[in-house]
Amino acid sequence: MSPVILAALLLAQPLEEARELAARGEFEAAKAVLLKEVERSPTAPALAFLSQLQVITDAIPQGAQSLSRALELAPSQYRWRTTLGALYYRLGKLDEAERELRRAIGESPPLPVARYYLAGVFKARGDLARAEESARLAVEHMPEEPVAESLPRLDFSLSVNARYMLAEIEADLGREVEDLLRRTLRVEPTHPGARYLLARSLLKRGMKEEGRNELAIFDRSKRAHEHLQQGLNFSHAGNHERAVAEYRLALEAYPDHPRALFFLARELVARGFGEESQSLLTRLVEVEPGAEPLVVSLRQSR
Amino acid sequence: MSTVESGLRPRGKLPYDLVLLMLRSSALLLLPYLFLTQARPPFTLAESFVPYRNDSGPIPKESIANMTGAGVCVIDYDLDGDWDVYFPNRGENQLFRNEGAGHFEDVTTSAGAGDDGWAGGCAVADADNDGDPDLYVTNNGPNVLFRNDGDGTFSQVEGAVSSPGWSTGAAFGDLDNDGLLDLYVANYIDLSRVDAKARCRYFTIDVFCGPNGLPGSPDTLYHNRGGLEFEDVTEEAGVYRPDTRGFSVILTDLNFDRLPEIHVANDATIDLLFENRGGMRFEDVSLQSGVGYSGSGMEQSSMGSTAGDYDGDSDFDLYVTTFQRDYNTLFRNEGGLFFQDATVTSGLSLPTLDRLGWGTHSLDVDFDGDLELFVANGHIYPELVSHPEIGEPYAQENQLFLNDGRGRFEEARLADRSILRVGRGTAVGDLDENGAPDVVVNNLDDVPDLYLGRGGRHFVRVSLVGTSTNRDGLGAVVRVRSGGIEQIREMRLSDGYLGSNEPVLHFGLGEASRVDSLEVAWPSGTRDRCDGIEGRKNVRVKEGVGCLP
Repeated sequence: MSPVILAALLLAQPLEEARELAARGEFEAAKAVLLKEVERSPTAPALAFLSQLQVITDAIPQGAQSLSRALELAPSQYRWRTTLGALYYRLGKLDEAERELRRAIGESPPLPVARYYLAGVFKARGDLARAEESARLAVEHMPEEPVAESLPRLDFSLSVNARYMLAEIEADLGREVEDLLRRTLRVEPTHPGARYLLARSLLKRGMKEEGRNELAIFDRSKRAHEHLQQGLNFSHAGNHERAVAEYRLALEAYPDHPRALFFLARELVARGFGEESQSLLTRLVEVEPGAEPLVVSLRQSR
Repeated sequence: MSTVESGLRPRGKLPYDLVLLMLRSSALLLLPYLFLTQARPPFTLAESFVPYRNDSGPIPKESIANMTGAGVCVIDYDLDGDWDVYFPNRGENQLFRNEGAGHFEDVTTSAGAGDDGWAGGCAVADADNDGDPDLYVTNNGPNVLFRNDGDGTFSQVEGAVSSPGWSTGAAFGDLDNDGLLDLYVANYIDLSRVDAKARCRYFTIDVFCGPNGLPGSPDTLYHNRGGLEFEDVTEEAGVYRPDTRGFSVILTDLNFDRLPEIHVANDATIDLLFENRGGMRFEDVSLQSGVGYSGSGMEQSSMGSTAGDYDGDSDFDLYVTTFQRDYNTLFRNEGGLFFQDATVTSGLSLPTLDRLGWGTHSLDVDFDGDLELFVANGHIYPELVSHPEIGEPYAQENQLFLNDGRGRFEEARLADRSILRVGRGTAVGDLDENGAPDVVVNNLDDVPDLYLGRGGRHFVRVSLVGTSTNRDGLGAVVRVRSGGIEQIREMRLSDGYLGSNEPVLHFGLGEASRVDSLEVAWPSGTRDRCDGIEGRKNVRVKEGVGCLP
């Protein structure tokens, strides 16, 4: 075996081991493997993977630090740079976030994800003109994510969030935003922020009944969202019974909530409760036809 | 006092075009003026204050009960005309009598103001309308009402308003306009349903749990039946909300119907706004008013709150302090109990994102006729001291935001020296009697700070004596016109965080040396007006009589 191949194999081994551990949910063990590895011989992929694991386990400052080190070794990785910018944004380090996001955009324009976070940076600073410009560019270049892809997560897709952020900025600039919000809500009817902003706009225009109706939907969305979050927490902690209970509460708060239908069905499928999960999945496709591929794959996984 | 000494134009407030004009006119003599006025902040931090130290339990903090700290109350308990200070504490509240010249004496025992509960907040008002201020102390346990006996001592009033949960903020106000002050008490977490030893994570740090996931506790509304007898009317009045985590309470008339609304800043649950419908009936308008959530529809970890007319449109806006990485929120009153989150457009978003805010006050520190914002800051996790990578310091600097008169703010240097503390409760009062509002900050596990206002040349301080209205004149709205500017203030004592301020309304007059008119709209409907007030700094207005000589 040539020394080059041997070196590559040696490098790949700890990464592979960490990947396997992470796939089993053993994040701390995976981190330990990578920490040892990057101490011995830091490489960009190992540092980037370590960063990912650190973020997953709430060590966000450390995650940013690892990713920053990875970028020193691989400065042209603009996607990592975007992530680093997003991490700094999350940490409230706006100057650092702007620096990384701008650099990422410089390396690979238009980079809508970076534009989205950059809009957030400007908005936080109260620089609404530049926030609007960035959010517009983000929306312009960010295609709608298929529902089937975003449904398994509690977070909304970036494309939806970008549209919502643009609406928020426009509202702060005193502009009319109802059309934009309605379009956003057609994609994600349970987006609490968009629903709230729409309700506020209607109330401000004196459309009290419509505004109150929207507020009522907002309230239901919000309560459902909270139960879904709790349910996910329980599910991740292995307490599936309480997770199911929370998902049911979410459905109670907001009947036909696509994520509540999906999360509950998924939990029940995993526990072998076939009949109820089937009816939930059937309902999900009725409510959200775009979820069909996801439902098919879940049914196949039984 | 010269203009320079008055601090009329603190740092950042001198118009740039005026500076240019001055320099171009080669008025070199003005340079020292420019230097002094731009460099001098509006407060001096007192070198020493009182022998009090807040005790909020051991560090590291075992439970959420160890992080909320305490408020502070400014009170003239002995009616000698200067402001004394009351500090709630864990097992040893202290009352300090103002002896003048910056000296304070501990009179807790002789005044009978001590209590062995775990105190967090206090509220002051003449609850029995007998001409002296009574004192209410909120505890993690039964609360205590101290009746002022008028001779420099207090007596505890048994039972009536004890509210035996974990109470935090409290505010007196005449909610049904019967001349008697009612009492709203915010309650925080139901500790009886909490695993006190549970641990959670903040980023990667092992910390106490909460408030998220911990059960809230309903607030309590007490109706004053006279003679210091109170009745719990929480449910029938329509203010029962079982799962909120209450901190600060403001009673303020937001729609000018002479009936104060109730605003409660809640920690990680919806902030409450109850519209006063009269007859001790309230409607929950938290959601539709827009003050329940931030403009994004998110609940905030609201800690402290204050109200004032920040944009000069003659109504009261709301300002709420919140957690780190969230902005303190300014809700602009747009009339009809409709509020707009105006934080970003008022310039207040960015400077508060990296602080964790608590006590806050609206006060005119530069005497220019608009309201500035004071904010006390400090984190809740002492463990952050050994985790600088998170970038959230435990001890933080307090902040001052200067108003441009149209509701746009800019952060300015607060005091002659900066200090890092874990700030919590705050109260305002002119402790050194120089005419400028001073601010007391009760710091967590630390000594308190006293920010002494530098003072200004032109101002008027208005105090009220109600006759058919409650004696303190709480709820009365005072309008002062001078130099073409109208200012509006409301007499309310409780704001900030778990504390109570002096019962005086301070109006800076800018360059104007006289008050053209001063008008008081009393909750009873009576209106009193005095015109052409000149050369007086303190004006006392008696309901139905007018300005007293």
